[in-house]
Amino acid sequence: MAGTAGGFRTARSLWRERLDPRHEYRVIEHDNRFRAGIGRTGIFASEFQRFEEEKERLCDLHAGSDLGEIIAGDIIDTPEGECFGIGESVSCPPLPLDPDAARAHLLRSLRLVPGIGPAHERRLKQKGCRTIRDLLHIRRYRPSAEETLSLITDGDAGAVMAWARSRLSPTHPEVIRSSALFDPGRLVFLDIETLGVFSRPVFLIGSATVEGGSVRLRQFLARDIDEELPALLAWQESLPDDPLILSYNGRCFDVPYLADRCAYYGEEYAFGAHQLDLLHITRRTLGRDLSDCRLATIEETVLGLKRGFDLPGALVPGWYDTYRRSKNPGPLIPIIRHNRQDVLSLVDLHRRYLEMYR
Amino acid sequence: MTQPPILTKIREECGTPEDALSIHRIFGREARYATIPDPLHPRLRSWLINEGIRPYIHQAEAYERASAGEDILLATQTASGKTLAFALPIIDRLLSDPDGRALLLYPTKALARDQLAAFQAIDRAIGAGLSPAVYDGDTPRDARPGIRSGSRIIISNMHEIHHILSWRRQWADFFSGTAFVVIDEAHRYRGVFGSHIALLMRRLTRVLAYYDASPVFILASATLGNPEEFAERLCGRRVRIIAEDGSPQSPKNIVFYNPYLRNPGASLTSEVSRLLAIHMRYRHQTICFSPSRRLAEVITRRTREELAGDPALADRLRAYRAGYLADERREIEAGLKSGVLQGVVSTNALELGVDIGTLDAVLMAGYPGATISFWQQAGRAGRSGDESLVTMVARYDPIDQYYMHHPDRFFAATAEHAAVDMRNPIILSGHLLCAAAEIPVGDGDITYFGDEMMAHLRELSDEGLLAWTRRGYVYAGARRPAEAVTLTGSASGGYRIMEKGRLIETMDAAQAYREAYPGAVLLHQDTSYIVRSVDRDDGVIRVDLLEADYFTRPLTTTSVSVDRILGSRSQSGLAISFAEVTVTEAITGYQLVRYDRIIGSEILDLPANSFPTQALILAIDPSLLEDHGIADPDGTLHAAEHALIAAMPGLVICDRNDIGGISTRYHPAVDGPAIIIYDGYTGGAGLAAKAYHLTGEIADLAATIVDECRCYDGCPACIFSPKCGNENKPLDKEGSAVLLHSLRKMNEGR
Repeated sequence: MAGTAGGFRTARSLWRERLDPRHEYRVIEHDNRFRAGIGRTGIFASEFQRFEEEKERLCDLHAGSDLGEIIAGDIIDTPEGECFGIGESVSCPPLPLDPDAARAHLLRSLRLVPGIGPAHERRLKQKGCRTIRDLLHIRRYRPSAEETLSLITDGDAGAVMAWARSRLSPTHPEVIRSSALFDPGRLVFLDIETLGVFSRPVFLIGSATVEGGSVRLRQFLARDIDEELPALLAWQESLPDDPLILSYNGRCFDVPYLADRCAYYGEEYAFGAHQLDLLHITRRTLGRDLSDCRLATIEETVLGLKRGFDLPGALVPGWYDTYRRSKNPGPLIPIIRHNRQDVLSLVDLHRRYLEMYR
Repeated sequence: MTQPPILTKIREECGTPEDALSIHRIFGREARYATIPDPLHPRLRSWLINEGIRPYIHQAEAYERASAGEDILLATQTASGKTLAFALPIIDRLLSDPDGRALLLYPTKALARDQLAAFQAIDRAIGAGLSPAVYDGDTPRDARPGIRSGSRIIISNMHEIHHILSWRRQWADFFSGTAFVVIDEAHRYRGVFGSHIALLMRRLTRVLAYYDASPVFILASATLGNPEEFAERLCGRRVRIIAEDGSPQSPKNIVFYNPYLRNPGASLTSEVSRLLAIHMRYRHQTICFSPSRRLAEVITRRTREELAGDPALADRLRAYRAGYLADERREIEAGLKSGVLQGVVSTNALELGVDIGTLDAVLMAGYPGATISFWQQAGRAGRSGDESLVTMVARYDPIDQYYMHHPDRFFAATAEHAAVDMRNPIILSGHLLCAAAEIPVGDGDITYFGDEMMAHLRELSDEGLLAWTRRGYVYAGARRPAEAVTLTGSASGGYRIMEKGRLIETMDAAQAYREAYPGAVLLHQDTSYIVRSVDRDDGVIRVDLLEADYFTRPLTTTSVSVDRILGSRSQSGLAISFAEVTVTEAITGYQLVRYDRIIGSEILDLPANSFPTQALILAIDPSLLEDHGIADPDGTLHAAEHALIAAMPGLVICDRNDIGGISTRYHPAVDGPAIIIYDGYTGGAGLAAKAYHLTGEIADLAATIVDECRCYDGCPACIFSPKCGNENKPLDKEGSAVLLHSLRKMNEGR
């Protein structure tokens, strides 16, 4: 009885209309850049049309097929149900992680010792104090220099990085160098795909570790919303102990987003203590020379990589929604590919910074 | 007893004929104090003693009940010390429970700032270290984390809570300690707004319960006809009503002035301005309440003209209304407190508890629409000990005129009922979407959202907006639901009114259809705008500034189809039902009106607008219209419809613009003559539902209004409706009296 009542019908279609993903961006008619305005993300009509055609093409191409048939992957079982796992090994040059060199660098940064600022450091260097060890001979610095020294030589890499962040700045080269102190197995490169910027499900978690000469990439996909929690759990399960999460804007977005989603389901989470956000570092080191700091721009200008078809982030929720409703895996393919490339680029970018600050 | 000189002057100026003026004296009341409650924390006790504060009986009762864990509603008058009544139980508990927190919700930011000062003062005085803070849209981003973690008393508003709940991870510490939720000015949360707030409170309690917090609710409201029912609807709990007011009250003279008995062509503005000038010349610090922003400005200007002979005095008058900048408002508030200002003309913005001290006199331009508003406004007058003066100048409309003719009934009347509806399917499903983005929603949540929850969840899930998971229904849409669901008024929202790219206001689709057709004149903050175009796809209404003194009135045809009967009863030739209906309105044209005179009309060709809502259906036996020698059955039904709509605000708090109606000789749903009165909001606002239970009383009031109006065949004080879509034709006053008398017998048939 209730189901057919006018009120229910109206209510559900009203919310359907008002919550449609296309409200999150604006299609700019006639590609008129003067109508782009500010505020909502805009996309030119001709581009939008191209993407719509591509979506249709993908849907036609994969009509009737099953996700497993076109994307190699496995079903992952968790106590909260299944999700879909995509794994891959990509060979790459090993990361130039040289903890001894990094330590030596850090020891030359006198400012890591409490009470020493930039001017002070200059004066001390003029006087011949080259490393923190030299400070042990100056009585007034001895206690704090001893403490800093033992942190750098024996402390946990996470503690050193946190120390460098707070003593210097979150984007200081020493922060990048301190990432070389981590056991390579603790480095996790992360990028996620979601239905929005906040309080909506995450449906794809791309995560990579580096093992010698290869990147071990894992993607955890929620084939429907009920697989979100399993994907979160499976991803957490895949993490090394006490990981360092490397991301592009992950400090503000990906990591708190995943924490919010875990909290939403009432699940514990134990990640995010150590992070290296490569966006912040890029803004500081390369930002001045670039038109913008989007990862795609960095790929082209810094990593010398040209992406082919790439789905704009604003369209991702709508494409996932199309997949969810139609169960046609077509629209998922570019999203998974996009996520994969993002994670791989993170590894390259980190390598680039390590080389830069070797 | 000697009469204050100003009263003599008013009598002189307005007292002929005899019945144009009626004066009602309310005797003062001594304060009734209680002893400081024994269990009160020693620091609070010594603070009270040091400050020389003796708690009133209602403050002590509030402390005792709230401390014992009872949810309470304080229904005491304006300026009765509600802040202390909140503060005692809260601070007492927070002093002894280091994890305890309190969330205080006020309807406006100004009021929140006011209350912050009060709580900070107590906190400082007793060194409690609770760091009271305001957390709202104006709180700087970088101050927010500190407030969340460090403040144990957070003062906020409903809109903020609506958005905060989905950030609950950041609020986990605060939420898990929440021991009190305070809702001040609770009577404001009624009608459509009330439906939203009631559901928001369910969401809040649900999130708090997730963190094992079960706070005590402390509500404060003006006197209502149905406080128990209202409070239970609003916050989902049975509350204890505390109405025994211990605060002192100064004697008051209440003057009802009906200028239309002196001169049928009287002007409200000039009468009020003249009276305000008299108040000021007699050195009575006065607040004049105006029904609209525009009128507030006009009255101010006219009064200044009246005072032209004394420019210094004219300078001490200000207008005050929403839309003024915060600094300007604060300056006026301070000017009133210090006595620099002698008069202020305000909209109901000052009806709220913003602290401006107490004044000598209150002047009302028209009945403020509800007895609770009347008494709230009247409460602004009354310096301790002194006799204060409250004057209401009537407008020429049914309720004003009714009370002018029956001041005794006004003073004997019980307060109106406040409607809060939990069934509006659009509002309910909207909040279910929000809730599902906060914590997965499962079967158990039926205790919060009612029996229709599961049906809604299934519908929303079929629509793809929710997804069923092992943890319950999870929000699966691509937009933030809290952004799509707006708490104010509109359930469907959606129209933005733009002037050259500048957003002026937003409107509900139904409201936009009715008011913002091409050519319509819209009024916003004293400024007229003319509607140029309506873009239904983008939801944009483009307007231009208009320099004109006319306004527009739409000509409409309305039809109602009945979807589902929810309840009915019948008696001697009448059947009354309450139903879900679909209203279809079509605007056929509009009239241009200047000074109540039609100066032109235009025809429009617009698509019709339909919306689902709730309605009261009166099915009338055709024989009833024949038997009593009714001359014009159409006019009878139409006039009775208008009178019922005019009378409704007398019993249910609403504005006549919140309700609409049709009358017809034949309606298929009842297979005969019918009068249908519906909520003018998409999904309904609970007004028709209330009217269904009060039909007899409403008909009784409507019959009295019609019987006693001295006009010959209808006038604005009885059966004319200012928003009639058919130019108030046809109307049969005598017939409507007959019909309404039959209806009034429908009392008590629930």
